[in-house]
Amino acid sequence: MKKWIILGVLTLVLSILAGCGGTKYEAVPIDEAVDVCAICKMQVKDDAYATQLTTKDGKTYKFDDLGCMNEWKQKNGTDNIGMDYVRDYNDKEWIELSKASFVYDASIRTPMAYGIVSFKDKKSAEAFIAEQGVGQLMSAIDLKAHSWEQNKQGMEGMEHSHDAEGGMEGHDAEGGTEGHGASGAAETEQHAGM
Amino acid sequence: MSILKRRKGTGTGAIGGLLLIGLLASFASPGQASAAESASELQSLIDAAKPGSEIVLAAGSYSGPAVIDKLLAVRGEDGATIYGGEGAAAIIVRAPGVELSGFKVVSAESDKLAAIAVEADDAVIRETVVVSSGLGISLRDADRALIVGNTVYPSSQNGGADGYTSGVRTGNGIDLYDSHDARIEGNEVHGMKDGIYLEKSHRASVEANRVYRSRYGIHCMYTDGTLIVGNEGEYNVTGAMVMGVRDAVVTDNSFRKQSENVHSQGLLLFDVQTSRIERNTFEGNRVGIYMELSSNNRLEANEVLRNFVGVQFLESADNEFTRNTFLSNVIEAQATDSAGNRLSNNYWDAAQALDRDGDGTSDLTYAINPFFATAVDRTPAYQLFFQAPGMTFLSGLFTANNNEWSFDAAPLMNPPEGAGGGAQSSDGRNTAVGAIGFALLLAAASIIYWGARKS
Repeated sequence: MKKWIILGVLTLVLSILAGCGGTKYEAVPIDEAVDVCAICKMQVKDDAYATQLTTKDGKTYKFDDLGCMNEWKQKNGTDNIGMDYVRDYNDKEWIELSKASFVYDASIRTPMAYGIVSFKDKKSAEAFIAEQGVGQLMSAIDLKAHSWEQNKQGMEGMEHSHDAEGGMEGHDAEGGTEGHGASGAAETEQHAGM
Repeated sequence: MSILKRRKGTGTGAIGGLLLIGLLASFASPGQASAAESASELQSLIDAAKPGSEIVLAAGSYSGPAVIDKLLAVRGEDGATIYGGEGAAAIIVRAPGVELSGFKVVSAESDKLAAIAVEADDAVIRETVVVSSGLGISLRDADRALIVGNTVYPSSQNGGADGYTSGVRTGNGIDLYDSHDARIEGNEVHGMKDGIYLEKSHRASVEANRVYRSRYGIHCMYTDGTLIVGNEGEYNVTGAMVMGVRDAVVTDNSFRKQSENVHSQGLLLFDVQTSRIERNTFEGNRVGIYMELSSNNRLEANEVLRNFVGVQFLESADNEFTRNTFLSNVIEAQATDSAGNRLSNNYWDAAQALDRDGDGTSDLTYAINPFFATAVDRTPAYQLFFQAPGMTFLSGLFTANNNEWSFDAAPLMNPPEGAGGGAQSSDGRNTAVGAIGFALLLAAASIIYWGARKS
């Protein structure tokens, strides 16, 4: 009996020590009053487009768009990054970037017009594509080869239609009216409990 | 009573006939949301109107949502209020050339919905009052709009001593997306997210608007050829946020007292190229002008007064920076990684100047030491060492590569003509102070004289 207790205590101590060993990175909440994007200097809204990364020396940088985080990595390299996080489009839960699924389309409105939204699993990403009728499914690895082009031209460069209900324009009128151009699908966003 | 009239001499040249339709309109107080239930339906008025006519809304309540899908003018008389409908914008414009004026719109929808949503070209929105918990006026793929003299504010102004909290800023006041050649003039927006928001909307003219207590007063994203002239911004997080823009003209604006947020600025330029920023006043902001990744711009004759940081350059090269006035800023300028900027003939009240040849400009260059700015950027807590003796000493020590610093080659000895923000009025003030001083002196002298005589 005594042996078991000793063994139990030993396991406990060992597991605690093991826990102390590895550095643990955790996503921190967004504070809209003070957080600005480390790249573009716009306010970081506490929404699904927010991303963040923590460096190995414990500094956290927040971004208002996944594209801005990519920009930071281009500038500063990725060697010193402890962990980077994106958010699930539907429930805003923080997820490790490497485990997330992404959907890109030039018509998806994000704060800096990079047009990429993130999801915690492939299934919800596919559901989003089905709902929007557009979008290209990507994994974290696919992102590395992505062009990171910003849609700065709106519909002007694209096929122009004067029918307000037609295609993406109608969808914009009803949905994509948030702040600096967030949201492709208003309904989904509202369900997310804003 | 609502009157329905034919609009004269517009568009297709319709001949003015007068059509009168008596309608029951309840005279419930327009200030109450509950009045909407007994209000007349705006949609049925619109459906009954002939294309090209004008609907005049008499005082009273009208209920939305209403879709205008033909050429119409809707004019409200004093006291006409339109209440928004469930899950839709109060007024949706789907036909070109529609004119809206005079009435008040109240919308209690979410931040995704506008009180007035325009989805067609050539709309005119004039002198309306928009009270919205979501967006105010939105334009989507709606070119050549004219938005003049409107007032936009949020429906809830709870909290805060002055009736505002940052939490209630839900939607933008006037929000343009993919809508070109708009004219936005003389509007007043307060308490919204962004006062006037332009995205991918080129050649807009934003003139003489007043935006206060909002997040960003004027916010441009990816717009070319934007004109921002003569606007006023106060107590916003940032007066004007200009991002991803070419060939903008920002002149004669005044951005004051943007200082309540830790990231407040008068004007922020991010990725702005070949633009002109002239004759603006930046007063009492946390940062007067903030520039990042912006090149080949011309900043001339701006007045930068009483800000914490006058101007801040970050990775901004090859800008022309002349004849600006810097008065009473705590830190006049900070510049990091900004080579090739041409600063000359600015007036810096803190510069050590010496003019040997009497040409009005100093022979000593005025350099901007980036040491403190760089240190704070890496470790924000170093702000504590602001003007600490050690920091001043270290700044003086690290002068390597000072040929890469931004410096004013020939600072002005005196502020340019007419600059100084209230210099004229200070003369009057000086006379008043002198008079009061003289009166006090006289009083003191007489007290001493009479007092001394008594004892």
